[in-house]
Amino acid sequence: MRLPALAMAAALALAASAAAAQRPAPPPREREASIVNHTGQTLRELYAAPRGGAAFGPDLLGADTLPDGGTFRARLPGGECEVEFRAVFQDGTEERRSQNICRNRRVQFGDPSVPLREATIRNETDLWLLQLFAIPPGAPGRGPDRLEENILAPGREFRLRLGRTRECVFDLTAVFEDGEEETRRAVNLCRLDRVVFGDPAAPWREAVVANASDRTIRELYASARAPAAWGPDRLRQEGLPPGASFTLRLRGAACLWDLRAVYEDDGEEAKPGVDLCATREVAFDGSGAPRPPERRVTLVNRHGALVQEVYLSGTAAEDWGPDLLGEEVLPRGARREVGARLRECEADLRIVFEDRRAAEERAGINLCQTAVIVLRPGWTLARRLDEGEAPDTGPRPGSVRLRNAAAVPVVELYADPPGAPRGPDRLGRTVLGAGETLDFAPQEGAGCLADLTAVFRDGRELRLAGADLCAGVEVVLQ
Amino acid sequence: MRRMMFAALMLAAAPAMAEGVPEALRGAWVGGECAAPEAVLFVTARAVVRLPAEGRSRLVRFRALRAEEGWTLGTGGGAEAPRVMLRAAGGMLETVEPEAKTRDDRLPGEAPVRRWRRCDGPPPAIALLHGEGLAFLGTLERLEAACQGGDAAGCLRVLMAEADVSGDGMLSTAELARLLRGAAWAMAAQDGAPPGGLAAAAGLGGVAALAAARLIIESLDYDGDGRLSAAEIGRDRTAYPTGAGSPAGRPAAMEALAEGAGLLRGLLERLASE
Repeated sequence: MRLPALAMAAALALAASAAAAQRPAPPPREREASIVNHTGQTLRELYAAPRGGAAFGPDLLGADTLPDGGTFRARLPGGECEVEFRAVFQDGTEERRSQNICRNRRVQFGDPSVPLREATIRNETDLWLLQLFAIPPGAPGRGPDRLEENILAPGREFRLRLGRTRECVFDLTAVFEDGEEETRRAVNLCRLDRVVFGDPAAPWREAVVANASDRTIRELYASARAPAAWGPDRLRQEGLPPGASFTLRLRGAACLWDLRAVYEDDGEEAKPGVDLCATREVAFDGSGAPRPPERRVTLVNRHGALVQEVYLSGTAAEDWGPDLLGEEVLPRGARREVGARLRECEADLRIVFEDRRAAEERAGINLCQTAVIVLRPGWTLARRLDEGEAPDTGPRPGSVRLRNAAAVPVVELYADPPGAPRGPDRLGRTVLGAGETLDFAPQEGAGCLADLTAVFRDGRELRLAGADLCAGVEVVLQ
Repeated sequence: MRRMMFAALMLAAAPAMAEGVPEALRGAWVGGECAAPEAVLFVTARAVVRLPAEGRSRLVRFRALRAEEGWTLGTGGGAEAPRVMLRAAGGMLETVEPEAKTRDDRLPGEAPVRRWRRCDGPPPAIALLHGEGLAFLGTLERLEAACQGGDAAGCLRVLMAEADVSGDGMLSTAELARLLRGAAWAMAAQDGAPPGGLAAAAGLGGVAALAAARLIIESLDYDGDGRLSAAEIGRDRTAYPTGAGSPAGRPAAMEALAEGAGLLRGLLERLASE
């Protein structure tokens, strides 16, 4: 009985294996393909999808890239044989390829027998080259920006890689920071390995531009073709603070250049026809760009809460500008003078309470007629802004008010510790004009007593030895 | 209108100076080429105005003049008391505008020397933009000279002579408007306006000037002929009136009278009264 039973079991096993041999094997859950890049460019993104199927899946390269000549083993989910690949190269161009990867797992982009087309681009202008385009003549559009997110600074080079192509002739277009474009048409890159934008024979003009004013220069322009074309902002949005300098490098045969500084308050100062062949230093002192007058007002906080921020701006201004209190605050019951440079008398005032819990605003306050604003419940609508307060008539505590009662300006002002040698001119680049006043306080860390010396423009000197600069009184200079 | 009012204040601003800027230095000068000036400089007896083709103008009316080592040094009014130095150099004029910080004993300081040339006539665009304004600067100085001496009748005579373009002995709306357009231009130059600002002053100021001239004529034209005579302008302004008055009535608020004749009337009234 045992033998027949064994024979039956063997027969059943054979039958089962024969059935298994006749059934088709299940398809694999994923396939592999070797992606070979011979395009002459870096392969930045790679996508795959069954041919005629759904949309492309995720980038198979992920965060990686595939350099020219490199191979990448891609794992393709789904197991289909007919696959369409979409490759995106570093210059933004795309290539699609359909292939049966069950027959041939090697998927090649580019033909290594086709020569690589490359050239060195040199920027011999004095402007940043922001974009570079290269397309065969007659091709539509201008193609991708070959610089991508890079820029080509003056005097620098860039290796232009156009990949493998039998095309020799290209139109090259450079776009500079001033928006100007320069196009070199029909450049044969099979013969020419180097393309220069600008005139390498043009001399450089260099000058140190100093900001001798007391406000930041926001923009600086230099042009030999002004006012037709001022060119780009030479500070490139960096700004030039008071006292700082900047080396201006220009390129061109012209000696006479027009320079124009735009200050932070939109004032403009021009220096036409500066001879940069002879001049190596140029100073902008702001004298050519009159500042708006500083309009001051005293705020008295009669609210029940601390005021943390104060803003004062012209009625036409688009933003409030800086917080006039800075790091300080206006406590309950305190008074403080604030000011802003405004062309018009009318201004808008905004106060923000502690922890920015609330804010109040009043528009159209005439600062030429208002010396004191009492911040109190209802002040935004009150008829009188200074109700209950006397106008501020004296200097602020801890200072003296210097009044120039002479007929000529005070051009230098010194405040030195008693007996000490003369220090820096405390007026800086400005003067204290005839009839003008200045609230003057000791420098931080210095004592109240000082030897005060005023030098008038006619050469007279007024010396006040041992003056108390914290006395809160008016000192007449004449 | 505010510019016009300021013009009235300017009239009373500067003291007369005996000599003024030397004759040879006065008149129009050009920086750059005559056909396309980079700037125009106009020198009167007591003022200098620089008008660049691009950028802000600069008008300095001198309160003091003195010789300074070959230069004529003029000093203007205001807090900073701006200075201008002038001297002849061959057929050219040289000017320096010293920095406000430069002490008098260190003049001319580091400010650049500008050179100016004479030209036969201004290009049409320059003449159109600045002609009336420059003419007004001379008029202003002559009015100041005549009106600040206390002789009201002499002041009126000069006013008539300056304003009466047609020479008929009467002032028309157009003649008054010309005077006021010049004042608007001078105010813009005083504020440092660029060419666009001066053009706007001449344009918008021109409209205001015309309206103001009409207002002045309407307010002073006692015989209703549409023009002003010297007698009409001078009425009640050249001699003390009688103190007759009336014992009846009571004082009204003076402020109510302030808006009556308008700001531009003040220009002529100050001329007649100061």
